[in-house]
Amino acid sequence: MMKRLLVAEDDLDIARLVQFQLQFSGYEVTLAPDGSEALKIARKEPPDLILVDWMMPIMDGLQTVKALKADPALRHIPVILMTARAQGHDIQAGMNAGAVAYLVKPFPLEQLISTIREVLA
Amino acid sequence: MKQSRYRWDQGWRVRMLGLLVFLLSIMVALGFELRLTFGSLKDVQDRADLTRKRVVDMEKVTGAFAEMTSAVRGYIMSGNETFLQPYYSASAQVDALLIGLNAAAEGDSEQVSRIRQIQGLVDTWRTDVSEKEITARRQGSPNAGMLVVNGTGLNFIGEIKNSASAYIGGEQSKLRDELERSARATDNFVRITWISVGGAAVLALAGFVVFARSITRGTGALAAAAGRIAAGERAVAVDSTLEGELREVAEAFSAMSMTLAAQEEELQAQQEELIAQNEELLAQQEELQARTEALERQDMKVRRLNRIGDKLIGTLEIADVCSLILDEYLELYKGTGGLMLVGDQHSELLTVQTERWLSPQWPGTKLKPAGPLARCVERQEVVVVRYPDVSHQVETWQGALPVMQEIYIPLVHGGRVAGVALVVHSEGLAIPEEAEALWSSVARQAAVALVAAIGHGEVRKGLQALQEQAAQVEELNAQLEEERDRASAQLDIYLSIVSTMRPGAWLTDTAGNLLVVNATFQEFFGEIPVPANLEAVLTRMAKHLPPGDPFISGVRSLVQSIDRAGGGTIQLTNGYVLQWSSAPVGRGNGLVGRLFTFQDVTELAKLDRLKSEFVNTVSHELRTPLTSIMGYLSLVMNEQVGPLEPQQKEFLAVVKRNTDRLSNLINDLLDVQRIEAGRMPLQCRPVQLADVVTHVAETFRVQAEAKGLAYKVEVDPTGIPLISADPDRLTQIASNLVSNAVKYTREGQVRVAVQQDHLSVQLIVEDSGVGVAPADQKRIFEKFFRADNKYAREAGGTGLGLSIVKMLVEEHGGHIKVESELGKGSRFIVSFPLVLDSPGAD
Repeated sequence: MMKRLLVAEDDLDIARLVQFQLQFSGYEVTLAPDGSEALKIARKEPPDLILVDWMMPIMDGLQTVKALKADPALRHIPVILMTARAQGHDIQAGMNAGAVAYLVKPFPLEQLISTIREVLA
Repeated sequence: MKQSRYRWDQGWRVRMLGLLVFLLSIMVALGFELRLTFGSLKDVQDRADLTRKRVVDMEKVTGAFAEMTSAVRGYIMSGNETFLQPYYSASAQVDALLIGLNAAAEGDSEQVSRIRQIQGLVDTWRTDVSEKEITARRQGSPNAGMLVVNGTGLNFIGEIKNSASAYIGGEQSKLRDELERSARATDNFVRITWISVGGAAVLALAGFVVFARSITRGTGALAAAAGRIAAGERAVAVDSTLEGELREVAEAFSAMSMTLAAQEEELQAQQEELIAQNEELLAQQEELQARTEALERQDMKVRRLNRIGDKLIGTLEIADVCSLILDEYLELYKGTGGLMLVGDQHSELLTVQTERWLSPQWPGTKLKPAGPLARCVERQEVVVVRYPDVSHQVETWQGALPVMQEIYIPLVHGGRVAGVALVVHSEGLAIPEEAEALWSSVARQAAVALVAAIGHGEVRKGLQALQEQAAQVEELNAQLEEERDRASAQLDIYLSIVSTMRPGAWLTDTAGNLLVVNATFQEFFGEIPVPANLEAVLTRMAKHLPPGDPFISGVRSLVQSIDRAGGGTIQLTNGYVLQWSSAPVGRGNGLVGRLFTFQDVTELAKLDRLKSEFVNTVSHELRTPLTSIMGYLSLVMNEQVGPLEPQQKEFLAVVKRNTDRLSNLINDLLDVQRIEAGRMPLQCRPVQLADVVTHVAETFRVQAEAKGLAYKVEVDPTGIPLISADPDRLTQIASNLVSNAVKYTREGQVRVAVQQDHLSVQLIVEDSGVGVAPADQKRIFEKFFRADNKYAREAGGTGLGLSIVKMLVEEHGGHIKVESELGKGSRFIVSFPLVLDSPGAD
């Protein structure tokens, strides 16, 4: 069965890039334009993995991670943070909130795939 | 015949009897006169004796007075009570002598008044001068001796001497009068005697002539006898063959003549005696004259002694005293040259103090008594040494001088030889009589003066030392005062500077008490009431700081350690962000305390935050499109959306390389910004550099070997100590260096090594690449510096790598250097300090 990935990303170009690459790599991909939308979709149809961009309007990535981890129904779903914030303390904050991995933008597509595979293995 | 002769006899007997009576009465008168004359001569002699005694007594008075003055001088100079012994005994002697003289002069009002005058002067001198001085000296008055030394004392001595001279003169003139009177009496007596005898003789002759004419018989013998008497004979016996009256006359004549002769003989004897007595008187007069001369000499001597004494008392400098004494002796003995030696109180050595006409090298020489000098010192007597020839010589400034005679005079005081005067003669002179007579007196005075001068010298040395100490203390005080003034002035300056400083300022003393805070400070922390100690100020400040802010404890520890400086940034609860710094004010003795300054960096902090936000935002905003560019580029290049022509691939590779570069540039920029802002705190722990470097080196092996380089990784952790470092930053450092080495080397080798060097662990990255020109070696660590190297362009660095490396290395307390030759390669050596107490440091 094809793994279902939820990608919360406000930048449509990046969202379509990730979607293209992930579908190319054999995943079913759902896009959400922000954190709150992602939460709604996740609650309706819980995905196998959620990719969350940090900087988003309405609900940013960190809040989204925290909300997901606060929901008993969604808590088990692994979350990967995608961020342009490369600073140590930002990454630390994201990991503390419950993310399993992070991808610093700009990231090579190879890294995106290998990280997802690692998390889902 | 007989009858007639008797008849004749009758008339003559009467006349002859009358004549005899007359002659006898003359004899008696002469005898009486002789007695009178004798008596008066004896009186004159007695009186002359008394006069001489009085003169001698008066000499004694002046002598004793001189002794009194010397004794007082001695006491004043030395303070030694033993000097007062002779003073009191001489004083009693003066009184006794004057009482005796006064009694002896009874009736001579002139002399009595002189004696009273002397008594009065002595008494006044005692009450007004000597006793006052003695009291003053006992009480240690600084003016002691002034009366003795100045005119007052000398005037007394002069007046007493004058009065004594007048008295002696009076006595002498009286004596002369007596002598003259006695001489006159003797002359008169002789005259009367001669007249009487002459008269008697003439009368006798006349009588005899008349008698002879009256008688015719038997007168021849009488006539002859009378003639003999007339011729001067006295005891003339008339021929006894005569008879009758003539025989009686002759017998009477004979008897008379005998008596006359006896009388005359007696007279003659008495006259001779008188003459002898007169001669004796004359001799006595001569003796008196001689005595008077001696007295004058004595007076001269006393004057001279007084002069020496006055000179000696006038100075207390040992050098001056010695000069005076030596000069005096040289004059007395007519010496060619001499030395003045002064004894030492603590040893037997004598030090040459003064030299005259010998060698100037003498003064200061210490002599151990030997030969005549030892004899002089031991026996305390004058030693005269005579040399038989000119072989004995002494060195003088003019060359060797033959010495015929040396005189050593000891100056004895209190049973000790205070000094020795040595007089040298280059001729064998006899010692002048005057000198012999004077030496002991001069020696006594000189000894007193010398001892006093030595004592004075020592007292003065002590005094000088005291004065010097006092001067030093004064100087120190002055310095302290000056320093205090300076410190005070400096403090005033500090206070006014602090008060007018623009940043907030707080000046404390060394104990932390508040000296001054300025208006800016109070704007930050509120009003600080004065006086305030450290805790009072800290309590005020703590109100404006977040609870437990380390600033408060930091200030406490800074105040405790005087010479430390410190600083940092604090954010107040009222919004101010302050950059503070603290340093001691003043140094050493001039240490004032500690100054804290608070620079308002609120705006700067805001700007910094803005900048950080800006950089963050920009980098985010750059990274987001970059993510799309790189991602889609990757999709195209991976031909996920369709096959590409070779040239398309080649061009897209250029796009990719430059996109990577842009990405690196953004990362490096962010790193630089974070390091500079102190936002990249090191997470240090003991790290094995070799392990980190091995890992980094392996990630570049593929790239290096792909370029055909000999890639040597000589890294072995065995024996390499641990260092304290942030492993992520070590990785960044090693990556940058190895990456550069691989990037800038086309052929040859890249070598990576880790080694220990003394107290550091070194990372060495060596290549045979393009190298760095000497002029550029210093600059390659600057931001955005790029060597003017066409290949560098191709390599596509960001220009920030080495500056980041350098900053990171220095953050770790290490340093980096480069050894390079253009075209031949470079060697980067990074040294990290050893952690000495780490387990690996052994």
